[in-house]
Amino acid sequence: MKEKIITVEQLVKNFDNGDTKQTIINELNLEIYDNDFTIIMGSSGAGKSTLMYCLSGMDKPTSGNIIFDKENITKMNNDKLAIFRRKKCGFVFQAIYLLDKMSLMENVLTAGLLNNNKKEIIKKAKELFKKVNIPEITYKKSVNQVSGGEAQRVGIVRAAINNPKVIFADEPTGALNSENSKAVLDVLTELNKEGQSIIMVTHDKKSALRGNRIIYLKDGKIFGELSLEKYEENDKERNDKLDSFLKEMGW
Amino acid sequence: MKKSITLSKYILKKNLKEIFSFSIILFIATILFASAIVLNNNIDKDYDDEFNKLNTANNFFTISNMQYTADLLQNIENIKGVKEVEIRKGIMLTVPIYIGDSKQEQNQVFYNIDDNSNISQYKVINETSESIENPIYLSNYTSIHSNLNIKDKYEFEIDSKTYSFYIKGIINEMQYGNYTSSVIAQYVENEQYNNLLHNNENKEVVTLLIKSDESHKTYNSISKYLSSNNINILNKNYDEQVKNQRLSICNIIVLILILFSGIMLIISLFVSKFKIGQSITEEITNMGVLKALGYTSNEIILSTIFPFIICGLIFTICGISASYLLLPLLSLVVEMQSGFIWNIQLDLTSNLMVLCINLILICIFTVIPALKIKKLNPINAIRGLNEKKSGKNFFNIEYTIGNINFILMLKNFINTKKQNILLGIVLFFMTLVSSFAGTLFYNINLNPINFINTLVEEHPSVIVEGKKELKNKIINLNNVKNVIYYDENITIDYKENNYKTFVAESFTNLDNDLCYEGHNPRNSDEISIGSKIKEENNINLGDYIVLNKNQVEHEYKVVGFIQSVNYSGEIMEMTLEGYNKLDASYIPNIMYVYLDDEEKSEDFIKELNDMFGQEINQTMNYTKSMNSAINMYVSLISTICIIIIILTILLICLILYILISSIIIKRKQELGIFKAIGYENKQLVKQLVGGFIPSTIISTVLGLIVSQIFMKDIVLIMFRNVGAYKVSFEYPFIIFIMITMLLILITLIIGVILARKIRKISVYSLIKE
Repeated sequence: MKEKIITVEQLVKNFDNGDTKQTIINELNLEIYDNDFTIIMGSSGAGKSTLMYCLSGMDKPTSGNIIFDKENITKMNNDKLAIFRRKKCGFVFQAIYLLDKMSLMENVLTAGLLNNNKKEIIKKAKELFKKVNIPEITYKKSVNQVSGGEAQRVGIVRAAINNPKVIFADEPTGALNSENSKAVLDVLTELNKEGQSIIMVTHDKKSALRGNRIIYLKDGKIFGELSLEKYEENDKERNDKLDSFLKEMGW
Repeated sequence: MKKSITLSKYILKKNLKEIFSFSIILFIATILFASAIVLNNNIDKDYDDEFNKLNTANNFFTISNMQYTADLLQNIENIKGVKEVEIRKGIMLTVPIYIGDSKQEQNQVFYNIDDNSNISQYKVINETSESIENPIYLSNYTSIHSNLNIKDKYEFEIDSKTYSFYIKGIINEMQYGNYTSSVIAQYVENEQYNNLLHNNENKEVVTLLIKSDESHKTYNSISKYLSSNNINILNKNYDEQVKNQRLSICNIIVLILILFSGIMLIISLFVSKFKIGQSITEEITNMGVLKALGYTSNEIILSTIFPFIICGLIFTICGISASYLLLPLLSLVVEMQSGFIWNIQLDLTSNLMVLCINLILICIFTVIPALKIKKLNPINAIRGLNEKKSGKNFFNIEYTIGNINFILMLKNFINTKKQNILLGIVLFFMTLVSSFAGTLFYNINLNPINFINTLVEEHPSVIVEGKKELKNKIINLNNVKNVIYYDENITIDYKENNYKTFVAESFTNLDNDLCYEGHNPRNSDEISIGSKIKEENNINLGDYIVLNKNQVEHEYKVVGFIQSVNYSGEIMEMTLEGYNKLDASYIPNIMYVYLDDEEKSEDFIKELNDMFGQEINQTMNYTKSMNSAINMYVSLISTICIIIIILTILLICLILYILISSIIIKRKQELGIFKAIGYENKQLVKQLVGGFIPSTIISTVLGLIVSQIFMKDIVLIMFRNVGAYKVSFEYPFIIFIMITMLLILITLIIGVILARKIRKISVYSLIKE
């Protein structure tokens, strides 16, 4: 029996644009399990990113409950949410969002030093840099001196530095070429295999293949769901299953 | 041009709040500046106009009617420089009056309003047409300070007889009318004049009103003539000195206003310079696109500076207009201090001058940073690359010792250099201004004796006029610290002039050392002289001068230079022994009494009169008079200090608002990233405000040091303006430290309050920006 890490109950998220009110997430119920690589897919405007940011405490839902690691994060104030994110979440963004006035190592330390002592966190950061194939000469550079792929891998190191319960990845390969995309997905897959729970929003089928659970959103609700085995490279059957699921969903 | 205007509108819209803040600072600066310029450019002229309109005497001398003869008038008419002489009879009384809640004695001359004089006319500025019993026309000065209006009762008691009048009118004249001129004139009708005279025949005086082209010279010649004919001058003055006495506070106000408005103007200019630099950084991509589309550099520059120039123009005009709301208040202060009604009129020349100064400075301060646009390469600009980029990464987190929040605060400090420089400039000037206000407050409100010592001469607790022998009796009374023979009414001739001379038995135990260079006379052959005598005669310390009194001559060595604001430096001081060499018959009869507890001076005078009433001619509660006089300044300085405090806090608020807003706008995404990775709002607020701590501390401490070093000179320059060469102010370091700490605290509190708007922005929206 898989352990539940996030439980979502009757989640609603509205956006108020002056005269019009738009419902992005509509009474959504969902459970996320530990160690899963959960993929959130859906057409544009389906509420993928909104759901992910609500789950991670980055955005507040209009109503409903999100129980994250036994805590109801919808009841938390901004500062409690910040501490919650610091301890339990890691983020990988499509636009990478590294701090451009710092070196890559400093970017990682900025997140890591909130929870840990410097010596330990530098050691861990170096291990992670090694794991994502970023040599010392590179991680001492500043953001605008490295490629997008390298920067995104640093983004993953920053997300993983605090041993979060869940890494949230919002279209992490969206701005990368295929080679860099693969490298980034490989790192995420590797982390998941080591036990790291990941929730990734994507509209890319290749990226979705890395997940073991695909949730498809439509009009702010779960329209369909597909469970797969853990990712193995060149698994044709997995590829067919996903194709057929996405076809069924109207992809 | 059309393209530039469209662009300008965009820049104005985008930076509306910051440009508005700049405009507010400029607006306040302009109000103060325009008021100061109008005051400075008009008060002198208006004073002279009023002086001429009323055909005011250039010199006047009040003597006892008993000493007046028709020959005297004839002889004075023949003195060189005298153009016209008139006499006006009056009754000189020492009248107990109220100034605020404090009762004090004042010399007042009651003239007959029905006397038609040509010289020194008066102007009725307010009058009731109703019939009034026992009417009196009160001087404007008395009306203001005793808070008396038309139909009010004006009552006083002299020698147990009560005199009651009702105010029929308020008059303005340019001859008397100020506390420092020591005599105030009131006017009564024929019947009241005769009634008053009936009971005070021995107090009847004659005022010699003299018109002259060479006022000062004539004044000295007549003084000398009267002195040599043993005519006792009860009161005398000349136009220039009266003007100085009346307008001295006005000059100080102008100076303070110009200084303060100048500082605010400089700050507003630095704000515009900073904001233009910021706009270029923020809009670099758009500027690149515009260049690529074919806009010329000049068009982009014009569009960037145009909002500042337009707002500068609008708010300067608004400031100038608003200055006419402040000017009536200043006019009231001028009127209170000078007894002269200053009617404010539109002064287009002064206003145009302020407008031109503001616009020229705004153009210079906006064009210089905007010239950077010329150097922008379109391609680099489109890519968002500034030509000048700092490559050095200071305070690397990996190697810098300390808590992450502290290191990020240090990084923030480095990354907000320009903001820190602007804040530093503002806080430096604000520390100077606040220290100046603190110095005034300490020396005028908390320790008024320092202010008194600067502006007035010797100030005992009580002055007693009576028999010489009284001194030994008084000195043995309870509460008496010291008694000294001190006479301020003696005059001595030097060359062609006749000078007031302070004669004291000793200058060692006096409360106020007037000497600003050298020392007070110690023996009978020494003399100290005032600044004006020194300058006019080119006298140095150690020189010998020959003085003359009633044909007796004696040579004295000049050992010191003394100051006297009230006598414009035309003063001398010598020992009693020294004076006896000129006038051997002189027997001192004025005693300055110093009490241990000055609060009990009223009781002391009562005790004195009870014990030695027969031997006393008159007494004066100097402490009380001085306290009443100082109260005017205390309230004025308190008001100035409150205004400075309010403006300082407002200025810090506006500057921090501009700086923090610009940081939040510029770093919105960065703040979002910090929030996303788990930084709390309070950590980000601390980082942001903490980044300002170094510049806050450095600039205020620098301001503190500069204040400590130069405040003495600044205050001296200010008081030199009213004729003081020696300022007896104290500059306690603790006051400056308290001001510095307070400014740091205020800055940080305001910074935290303003930076808290980070809390209202959701992390999601920051990321999505």
